[in-house]
Amino acid sequence: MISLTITADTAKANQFLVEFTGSLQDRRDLNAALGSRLEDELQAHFRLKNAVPNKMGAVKTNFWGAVAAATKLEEVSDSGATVTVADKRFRIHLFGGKIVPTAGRKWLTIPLIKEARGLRVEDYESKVGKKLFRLPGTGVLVERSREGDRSTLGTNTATIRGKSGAFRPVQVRARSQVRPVYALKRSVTLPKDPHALPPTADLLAALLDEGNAFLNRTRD
Amino acid sequence: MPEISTSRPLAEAVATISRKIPVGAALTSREWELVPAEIKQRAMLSARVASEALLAEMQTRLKNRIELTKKDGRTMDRGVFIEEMRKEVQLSGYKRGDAKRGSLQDLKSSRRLGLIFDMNVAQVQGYAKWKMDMDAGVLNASPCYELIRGAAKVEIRNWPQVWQDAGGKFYGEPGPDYPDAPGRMLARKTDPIWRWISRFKTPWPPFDWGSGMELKNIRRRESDQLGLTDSREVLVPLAQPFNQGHTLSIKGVPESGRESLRSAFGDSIRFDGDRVQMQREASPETYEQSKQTIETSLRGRAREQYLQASGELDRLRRNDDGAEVGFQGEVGSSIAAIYLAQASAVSVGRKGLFHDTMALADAEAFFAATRGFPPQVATHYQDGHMLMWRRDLTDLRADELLSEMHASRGGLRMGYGLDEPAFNSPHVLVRIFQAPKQEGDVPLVGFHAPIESWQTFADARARDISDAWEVETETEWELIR
Repeated sequence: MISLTITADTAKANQFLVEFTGSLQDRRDLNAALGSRLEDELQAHFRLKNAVPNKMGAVKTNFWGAVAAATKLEEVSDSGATVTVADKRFRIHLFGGKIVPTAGRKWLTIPLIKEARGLRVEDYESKVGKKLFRLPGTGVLVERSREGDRSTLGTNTATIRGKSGAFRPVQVRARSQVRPVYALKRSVTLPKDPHALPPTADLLAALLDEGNAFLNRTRD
Repeated sequence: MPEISTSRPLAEAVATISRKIPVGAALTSREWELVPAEIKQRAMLSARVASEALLAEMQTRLKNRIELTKKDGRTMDRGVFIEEMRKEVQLSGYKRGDAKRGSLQDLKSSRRLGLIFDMNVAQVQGYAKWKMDMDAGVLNASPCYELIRGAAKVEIRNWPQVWQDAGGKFYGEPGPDYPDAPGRMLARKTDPIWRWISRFKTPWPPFDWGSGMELKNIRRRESDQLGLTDSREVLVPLAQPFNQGHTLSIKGVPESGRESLRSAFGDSIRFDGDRVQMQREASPETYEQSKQTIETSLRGRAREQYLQASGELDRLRRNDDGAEVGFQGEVGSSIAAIYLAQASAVSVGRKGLFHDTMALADAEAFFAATRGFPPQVATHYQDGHMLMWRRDLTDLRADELLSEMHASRGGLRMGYGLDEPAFNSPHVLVRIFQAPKQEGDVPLVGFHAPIESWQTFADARARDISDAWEVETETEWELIR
């Protein structure tokens, strides 16, 4: 008679210890079953997160769907199994951290309207057929607009974002109406997402269920 | 113990993207859908991109993404890929032509580059998952997939209809993705339906351009309960995901594209006019053999053929009882070695044709040395011309081939890209040396090639030598005006 116990490894995060009484010939197949179930539980969790609508009501970027797609059972052996979430972007949600511009850029562009969400500035400009302006001293990229939230320029100059990413001054008629599209930030700090992974208790229960199913199947 | 890792790349995905071979070809997306799935899996390709150099740049970046490597402090992601490839496309001199700016047909557009990124990353990840799912332990623990929606899309295809049209069955109550469907779309992981629902004929997502459908594992208990499997059954994994027999139209593909395919896939494919056909068999009994990549297999076989032929030539010389055996002396031996390297490339289908002029004694030695080549290899000697080709990979006859040689139109046939009449136009003179090249070294192979694709032909011919001799080579080129 073989019985199974699965606990979270307190010494190492995200590892689970499997102990069983009795002799088990095919450890590898047990680890394959457990690893596969762990993959399923993680994917299901990420897909649930992906189904949550974003606060802007914008078209989804499917970030958590991509994380689910990048989650794979990577390695199976006699000693264990490893499920890998092979998407670097997941780590900042798991551990928290600071996002900064790269490749020589000075700013992060944070969408302020749902139409801009998921689009690079160039792609938004290409899509709407308008060049964005930077409002001096506000750190906001705006577009000329008679719709939506809009501000009225007090002066008759603004700064347009050029091809190289730098800004140069351009004349805009005073009292023009503009709509903020992106906020410019030097960096953004993301807090650790406490729900980045499923609750440990849920994972343990699932792994134990899978382990017992394996033993029942191989015993019969 | 089971564990979750966030810092490791998927090894199989890395191996897959690394094995991909840039194969440029001027085909439309629709035509590429017809590409034999196995070629697609191994070929880094994109519709209407004839530049292997550009595709190689894409492959390098995609590899960085899959390997999760950092370069200049940043990891490769979709945005970085688009930004960098735009610059590369610009540098390549790309002209948009009639394509609308920003459209999918515009290679510089975010839409196009983003699609290339998404599709290639998804394909290698899909293959990596499929390989692990074909592990016997994994397969018996979760023997089935369910087709579900993984990503929300603005436009949603009628996947239950696609499923039904492909012969799929429905089980239980419909899921939340398609509440009006007859049931859930489930099938065994080894069921061929996963290829039939795919526009690309690969049994893993993405199943169509920009599709958000994914595969969810179905555990053994549920699979048994729904009747897809029997509790006492032991499932056998598939050896490989594809069957043979797919054909592809390569009408409009430039010669460099054909040469790329030939060099990459050797006798795994057969050219028939404007079509190419996969020739490999799928067999569970060859599971261990099928794990070997086409490239590794071709290299090993070419080396084996070369050793067999050169060994036979040496044996003839040792058994010489006064009769003169061809390829005499040090120079003769060197020439023989080069000829046999090219002959071994022909024998595995990597080089379409071998031709050179030989004296009778040399020709007799060549015949004798290559006697052990596969029966499909044809050898013909006439009027001082030696020809070797694969009968099963071309319909041309010896007299037709000789006629081309006499008309100095053999460059393309022999994988050099340029026939002599074109020598009067600007082109590139290629010379391949054994590495490291020393002062005064004579090239092993030299030929004339078109400016836009000389690299393709040079790489292919260099591989003939390096595979047979297991040496490194160096290539020099010179623009001839």
